[in-house]
Amino acid sequence: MLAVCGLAIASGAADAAGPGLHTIWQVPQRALPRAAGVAHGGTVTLGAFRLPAGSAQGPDRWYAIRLHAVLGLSRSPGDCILSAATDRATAAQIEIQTEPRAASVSSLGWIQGRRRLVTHAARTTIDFRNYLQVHGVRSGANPFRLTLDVLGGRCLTSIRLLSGSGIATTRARPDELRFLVPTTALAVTKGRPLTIPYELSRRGGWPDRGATVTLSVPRSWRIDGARSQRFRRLGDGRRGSFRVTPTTTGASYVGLRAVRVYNEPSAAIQVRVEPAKGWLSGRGVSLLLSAALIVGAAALTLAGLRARRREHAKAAR
Amino acid sequence: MRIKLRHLYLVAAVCALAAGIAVLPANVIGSSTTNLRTLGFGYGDSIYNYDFENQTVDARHVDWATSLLFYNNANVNKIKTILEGSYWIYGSKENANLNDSGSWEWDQDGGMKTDIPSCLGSDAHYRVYAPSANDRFYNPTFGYYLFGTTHHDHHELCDASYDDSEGTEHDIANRMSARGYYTRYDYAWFYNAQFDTQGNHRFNNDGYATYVEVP
Repeated sequence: MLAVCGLAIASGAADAAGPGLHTIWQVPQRALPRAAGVAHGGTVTLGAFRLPAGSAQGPDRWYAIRLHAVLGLSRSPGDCILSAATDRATAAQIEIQTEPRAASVSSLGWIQGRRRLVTHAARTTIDFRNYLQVHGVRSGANPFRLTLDVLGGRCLTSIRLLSGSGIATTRARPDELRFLVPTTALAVTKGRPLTIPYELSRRGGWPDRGATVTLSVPRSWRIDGARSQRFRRLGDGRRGSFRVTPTTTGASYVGLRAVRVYNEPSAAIQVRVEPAKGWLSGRGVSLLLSAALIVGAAALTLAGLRARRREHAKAAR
Repeated sequence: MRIKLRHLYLVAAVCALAAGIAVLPANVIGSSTTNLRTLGFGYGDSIYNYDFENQTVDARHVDWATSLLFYNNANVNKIKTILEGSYWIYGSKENANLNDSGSWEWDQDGGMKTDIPSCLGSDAHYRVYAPSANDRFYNPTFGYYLFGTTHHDHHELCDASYDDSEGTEHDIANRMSARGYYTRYDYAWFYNAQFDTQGNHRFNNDGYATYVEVP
């Protein structure tokens, strides 16, 4: 029945859960204060959403979680994981690490991608969304649980769950954007320009809002041109390339990232930078040296045997 | 006592032989497998079924077979915290190649061991891998998950040898099960069964990985 209500909401244009998402169930107001009970660790069930027979995660309708909360951060060292699950299948995992002067809050999901916030404030607000697990969607009642795992120390002083936390649906598939990049290391000589090609493919589902692709390179490397490339529309996908000049040798990585869009894909490309070639460089020389030394050892052993034979002959005479 | 010429020749020969072996490129020596392949976990997520000695995908330089999968609500820190009562010493780093967002990337982990290295002792050692920026994968089939390799270290500070990935996998399965985690020992075929000895590296892996559900 609630799913039917959700479909009714789906016809509306805007939804508090975010663009493309349509809320079908929210943690009841009376259950919100119970979340505070796990601020020092533990699990609490905050209600259950019911789905009609035949409900499943995908392929046409996808269910997503929304976790909206204000976290009070401890001023002492601590490491903990705040998670939320439906039917014991976790779909929200937020790692919180606290220090006396700062805290980091990191999350990973398929709607907002990877997010990491470093804050000096005593409180932070999270508004996390992610696709539910396949096992977290079934017909009938689906319990919604909040858990805090304390890995060390104490990281939270309070949890205030905000209204809007709950379940939403979307017709968009989860793995929306993907990078296609070279899978083998790109080889280049130090100081020479290198082209980094990429393709950003889109499977459709979410509105086509375009994307900005940003390049990151090792410190001191030169980017010949802009660090970011903007595509106003992606369609099925777009191709592009960056040009860089390495200034250090050895194996390094350059990174590509499409931030603040869909599942925030990223890619790393290995680059092997060789120094300007000289006859003394390379593995061949060390093999040659090794061979020469081993042959030398053999020659010295033979010479030793000959000397021994001469000594024996002299002694016999 | 007079030193004979042939003795000098012998000493020089031994020195030259040792030097020759020492300057052999380090990457000439390594453990190899004929089973190296990728494993898909859905939604484009993939891993290799072995970890590697270097950050190069090379069947001649693998380290250990992938034998563990922690899923649902796993995270590198969380798994290490759960097991830290038994596995409490940091190990040396190895490398895993994985694909989480359409491209292959490397993750490094030293893992955790049950004892400090010594001349006469042995210890169980596991390593866990996930995209390095996130310390976990996510997909709707496995939830938050990561994978791992296992083995035993022997006499590490003297005549070091390494073996028994199956034994450490079994030990971790037992420990997780004893703590109440839903554990399925040897649950999935990972195509990496290997029983052979290469130098001081003895492979003993049945090819099946253990799955542990982390609530």
